[in-house]
Formats: sequence, structure tokens, C-alpha cells
Amino acid sequence: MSFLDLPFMRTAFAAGLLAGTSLSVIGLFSATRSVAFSGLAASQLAALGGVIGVVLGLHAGASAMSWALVVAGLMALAFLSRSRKTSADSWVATLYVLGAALSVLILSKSPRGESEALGVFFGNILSLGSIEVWEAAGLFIVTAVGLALWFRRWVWLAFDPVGAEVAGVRAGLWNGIFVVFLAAALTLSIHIFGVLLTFSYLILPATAGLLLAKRIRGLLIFCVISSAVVTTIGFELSFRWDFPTGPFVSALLALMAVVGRLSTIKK
Amino acid sequence: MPTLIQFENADLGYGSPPVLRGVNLQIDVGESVGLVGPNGCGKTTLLRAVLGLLHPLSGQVRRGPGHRFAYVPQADEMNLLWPLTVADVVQLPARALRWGGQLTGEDRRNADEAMIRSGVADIKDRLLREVSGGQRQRTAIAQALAQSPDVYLLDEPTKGLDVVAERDLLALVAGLSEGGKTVFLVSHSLHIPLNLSKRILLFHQGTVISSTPEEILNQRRLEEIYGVPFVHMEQHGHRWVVPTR
Repeated sequence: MSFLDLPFMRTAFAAGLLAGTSLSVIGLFSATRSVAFSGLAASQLAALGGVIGVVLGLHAGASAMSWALVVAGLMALAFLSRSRKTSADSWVATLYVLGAALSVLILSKSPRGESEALGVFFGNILSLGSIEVWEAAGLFIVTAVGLALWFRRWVWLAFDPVGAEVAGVRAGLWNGIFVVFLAAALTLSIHIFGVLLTFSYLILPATAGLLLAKRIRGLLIFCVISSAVVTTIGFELSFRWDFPTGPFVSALLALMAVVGRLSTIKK
Repeated sequence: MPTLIQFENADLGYGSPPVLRGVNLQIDVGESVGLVGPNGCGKTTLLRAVLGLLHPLSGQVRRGPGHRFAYVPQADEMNLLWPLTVADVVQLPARALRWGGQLTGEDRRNADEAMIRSGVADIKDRLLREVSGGQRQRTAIAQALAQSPDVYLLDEPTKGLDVVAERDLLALVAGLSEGGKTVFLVSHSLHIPLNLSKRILLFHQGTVISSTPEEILNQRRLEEIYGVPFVHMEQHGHRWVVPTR
């Protein structure tokens, strides 16, 4: 028996595949900015928004709360990182701690705090419905269209921000568009995956791809294919061996990145 | 020549106190200008003001209309995590500025010519992170050339290069000036703009002093600015000024 024989597993797999491959490509821009953990901090802030929304009973507004917190958090990160006396990583850690601590504190006052905490941090991919699949499909389409139109513009801003700005690219505008887009992707993914798997998709395929790919096109293809293959393997093995699916896929993604690094060590 | 940019009693910086005070300068189209001074003296601040990325804290900065700028970063400023080939880097601005990233025939011709002129055509399929520092810097210049700008801004283009790579690169930079383009060349060492630029801006204690290369060779002027004596050497048409003990 395969996991595809079960309807709820098929639903979870479709959502995971669509959102995971989208995140893996979006994550290239986090992984190449030397502050990969900003994705983790942003994910945690999205989770905090979800927690606040749920605890306040704003179920429809929870996503908006998450989105707003991620945008605010990434803007705050850009501002705080300007300090020459501290590293950007310190502020990433600060925002992560803030998001995680506040999430736990708020959940501690919730009647179902412990179970909700597990959902926030590790997600519950097997409890998804068709709405989440459609949301993930929407994310996939927006990601594909956005990157098809503007991928090179964002690459230039990440490769040589001053040069791009001098040549007329409005860095503030385009970075702002990316932040809004990233926030939307994280908000949706946190809802589907929880923090751990969202961050895993965001950083690990990109990390392995940057190690192994020799061309930009190959890098994009690697991110999409590797996250799809690992998702499929993860679903199948976690189903067969009775492990929680989200953490299992996260572990496989991490293993892929480590194997990628080991394979580049010259004999 | 029309004016490219004019600073009128401009204070420049990122807050109080300003990095540069009371800057009065006029740079004309086609000038070759060297910016010289120790690290942290305000060269990059002035460059950012020239580019329009920094507005004056007080005073005025007036720019002539319609000029296209291209910035040549230091080799270590480029983000080498991306698997970009030399050709990818040279074509990147054209792709980035077009929807969908598709190049036109003219874009390809410009990029090919820029790579030939910069001496990187034979390494165009190699990854930028796998070529030497000199080749990387040449690639950055090729990227600027491919944009067909009116004004080039080169930030420490010889930083970290060996002497032969530096010589070759400076010959390439000299070619930019001879083509009638405006060139701003930032350097922490005096001898590079001394041999390449028609005007030298010396940065000293928050002020900008505009000099000709001939004035730079006046050792008393340098001694006033740096507080140490200098000697002047010249051989095979190449000039150096170096501080003495």
C-alpha cells in the first residue's frame, strides 16, 4: 500500500509538492544573502501572527496577521541591520527569539496550548483540506509567473545591489515587492507546514543547489526537482515506517544538503 | 563641455556630523576624475552623491539631465554564491531590465563586444567564482561596457590584484577615458589616478581638495595634506609619489 492510496495523504502531498517547490525557489534569495536564518525568523513571526489570530478567535484574520508581522519583521530587520556595531545575524536571532518566545507565551494562556504549539512549530500536514491545495497552487502559479518575469532583476539586486540601483533598478521598490511576496509565501506555508518544514523548504534545496549547480538554469531546475523528489520519498517512507511526515521530510532535506556538501569535497 | 554634476556648499553624509563638509565642485562631461584618500575618508560618500543615492544634508547638488551611469564594484563586493558565468554577469543588466529576461540581438552584440574589449571573451563560459581576481574585475568592467553608459564609476578596481593584473586592468580603464566617457576612479593609492585621471580629488579631514596631477606632484601640497614628506618618481612615462620616512 502506498500513501497515494489514501485521499488525505494525496491532499497533503499535493499541497506539500506545490508549496514546497515554490518555497525552494524563493529560498534562493534568502540563501544567497548570507542571512539564511532571516527565513527562520520570518517563519517564526508568521507563526506568531497565526497564534495571535487563532487565540483571539480571528480565524479569517490569522493569515493577515501573519503576513503583516512578516512584512514588519523583515522591514525591522533591514533597519536594525544597518548598525555597524552588530552583525545582521544578531538581529535575525533577536527576531527569531521574539517570535518564538511570544508564540509560546501566548499559547500558554490558550486552553489547547500544547496541541496548538505542536501545530505551529511542526505543522500538521496530514490535516489539510482542498482549500490548502488551492492556496498552494496559487502560490505555485504566482511564484512561477513572478520569477519568469523578474528573476534576473532580483538576481542582479542580490549579486550587485549598488550596480543595479545605479543602472536604474529601483532597489527599494523591487526589494519591497519581494518582501511582500516572501511574506505571503511564508504565511501560507506556515499554515500548511509549520515553522520547521517551511524553513527547511526555504533554505535546504537552495543550499544544496548552490553547491552543485553550475548554471543558473540548472540551479532553478535542481531546486524544483530535488524538493519534489524529497517530498515524494519523504511521504512514502514516513508512511511506511509510521513517522510524522513533516519532520521526516525536513530531515531528508537536511541530509540532502549535507550530502551535497560532502560530494563537493575534493579527494 | 556641459556640466555633469555640480556641488554647491554641500554637506554629505548619513547624519550629524557629516562625512564631508562644504563640498564645492563642478565635474564636466568627459572628465576623468580620480578620488584619492585613506579608507573611511568619504570617497564612497561622494560617489554615492554623484550617483544620486545620497542626498545632501545641506547645500545643493545639481545633475545634468539624461546621463546613464554604470558602477563597477570591487571584485569582493560581488555575490559569488550565484553560479553565474562570466557571460551571465555581462548580460545580467540587459536581462534584468527586460521583462522575462530575454536578450535582443543588440544586447548580445553589446555583451560580446564588451567581453572582447575587456579581454574576457575566452573565459565567458567559466563561472565567475572560479576565475582570478583580475579576470573578475575585467568582467565587472565588461558588464559596465555592455550597458553603454555615459559615466563609469570604478570603486577600487585594482584592490587585491597582483602587479601584472593591475597593469592590464589600468590599461583597460585608460581606454574608457580616451573614448570621451566620464570616468570616476576611486583609489586609496595616489599613483593610479595620478597616471589615469586629469583631475584628482583628495579627501582630507572631511573636506575635498580638487587638484591636477601636476599639483599632486608638488610635494609641498601633499605634505600639507598628509603631514609627511613625499618624493616623486617617474620612469617610462609612469609616475609615482610615495611618502618618505
